[in-house]
Amino acid sequence: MKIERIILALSFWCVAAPVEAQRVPAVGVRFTVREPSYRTEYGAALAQIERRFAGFVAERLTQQMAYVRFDTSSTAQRTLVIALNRRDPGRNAPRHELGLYVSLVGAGTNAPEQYWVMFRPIDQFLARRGTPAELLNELQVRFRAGDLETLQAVLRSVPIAVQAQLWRDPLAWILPFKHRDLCMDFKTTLLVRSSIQSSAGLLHDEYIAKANREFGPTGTLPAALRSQIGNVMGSLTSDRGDLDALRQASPGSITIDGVFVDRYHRSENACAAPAPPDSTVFAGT
Amino acid sequence: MVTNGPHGPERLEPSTLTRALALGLLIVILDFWLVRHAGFGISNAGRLAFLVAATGLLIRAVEWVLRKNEAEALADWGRETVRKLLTTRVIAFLWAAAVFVTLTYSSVEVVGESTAETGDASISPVGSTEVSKAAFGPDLRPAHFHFVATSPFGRPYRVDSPGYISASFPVYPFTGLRVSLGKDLLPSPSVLFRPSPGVLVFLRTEGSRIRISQLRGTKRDSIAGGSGASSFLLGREQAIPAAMIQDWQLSLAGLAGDETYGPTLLGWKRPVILAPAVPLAPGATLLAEVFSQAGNPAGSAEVVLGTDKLIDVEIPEVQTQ
Repeated sequence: MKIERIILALSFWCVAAPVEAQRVPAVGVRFTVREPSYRTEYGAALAQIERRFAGFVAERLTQQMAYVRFDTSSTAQRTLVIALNRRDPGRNAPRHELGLYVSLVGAGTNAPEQYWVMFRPIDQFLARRGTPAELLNELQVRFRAGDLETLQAVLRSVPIAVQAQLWRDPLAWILPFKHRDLCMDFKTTLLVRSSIQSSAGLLHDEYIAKANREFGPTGTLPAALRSQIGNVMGSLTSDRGDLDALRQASPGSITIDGVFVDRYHRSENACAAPAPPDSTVFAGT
Repeated sequence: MVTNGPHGPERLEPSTLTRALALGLLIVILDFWLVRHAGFGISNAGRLAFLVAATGLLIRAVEWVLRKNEAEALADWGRETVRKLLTTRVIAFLWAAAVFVTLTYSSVEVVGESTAETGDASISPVGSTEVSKAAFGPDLRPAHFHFVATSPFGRPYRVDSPGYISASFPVYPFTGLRVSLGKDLLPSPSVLFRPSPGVLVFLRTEGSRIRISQLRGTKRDSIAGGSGASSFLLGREQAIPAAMIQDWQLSLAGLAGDETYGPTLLGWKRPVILAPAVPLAPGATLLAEVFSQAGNPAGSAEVVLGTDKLIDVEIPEVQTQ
């Protein structure tokens, strides 16, 4: 029994103690219409359309990607920007394909804007645009048809945690949330960015962790770990990162730079608040 | 006429027959004049028949009511009265009055360009604000203006009719004035404001509109407005020449296959007719502006009117970038 406790105590390092269950990160959502003809068409009503569509996007994404809390407030550190614009803004032509662009702006994000989903093909550029309510409805339809994986890729730079504990045997990260907190399936993979202070200097590395376990070791746990029971345990794979360096790192030399969602699999069973029936269940490949 | 008689100078009165003939001639001339310049006359067949029948009935009634001697007395009294009235002075006065009236009043007729045409016409003495209006057509039925004041040397009148360029003409006595629209009054230019495909998009949504203004220096007077996803014909309705439509088809060649190609061409071929608040005349500067449903300027075109019957003006997009 005593040996078991010693092994347990040695089997983890406290990387950023104490690790507490934390709220999911907030990401603001902003929608902007850049297409000049639409700005002329809707004028002052555009502000309301932008606000309402941003609210719709925030609601839908919160349902689909529970590891981020989306809202339309401007207080979040990062903002997901969706823009309606021409696919080829520089081309001088009477007709253009219109589409929705996505980008993440704010702290630690420098990814370029991506063309996400077509809003109107070129042969509908001169078709009736409709009232503000009709435009909002059309945007919502296009958004529903959009590929959420692209959005997930854009959001890959949003850390869902900045704390984790390393469990040695088997080598895994104990993360400060449970599967059901994030409606997360066991197939989800996470990306852990960490730094190891070595004799040669600071070693930055990234580790892919499969969120395929729940932390629940047998035996008596130290008090600091008892509250972590049931949390996501990310098993490290050797796809990326130098696992040997991690294994050999001395306690206290590891710093967690951030835990990110690499590939999200939503689980309705694991989710405390299931998505509404009409929603598209996200399933990464 | 004065001659020397056995009792000194005495007035020679023309015979009653001569005087009656002079009066009859006056009546005939006046009848012609009234028919031409007043719109009525006594020579109308119906009226004459009524007059003859009424006179016959009246005589029969008098003969039936009165005894023979009373009827003869009445006939004598009537005969004497007519003789007294048919004096040379009275006849001369009637002739003088008729000459005065016919020299100072005349009439104007405005007739449409075709049998199908109907509309309004108005006349006003040049330099005066007094306006008379009348309607003309269909079947070339003219607009009549009766008892138009004039002078022996004529008086200029301005003639207006929507869709035609106003002009002034002298109105002379006796002959009057007859104005043929399209010949004497030239048609005013009609302008086909044709929103470009990019501007037509805005007009496809409710709440959008077009406003046409006339520019006078720095002043901008709105003269027409409308809505709808089509072109707008300001002025008289005109047939669109086939060559013009061919040009449009060529300009739309780049949109072939686009779902808006058909509606665009149809919209251009079937314009909304707008009546300008003021007559259009060569030299006038017009500004057409298209506003989106939000009230933002979406298209704009300016044109100076020429003498062409139909002027095609494309409204390009307002560049907002």
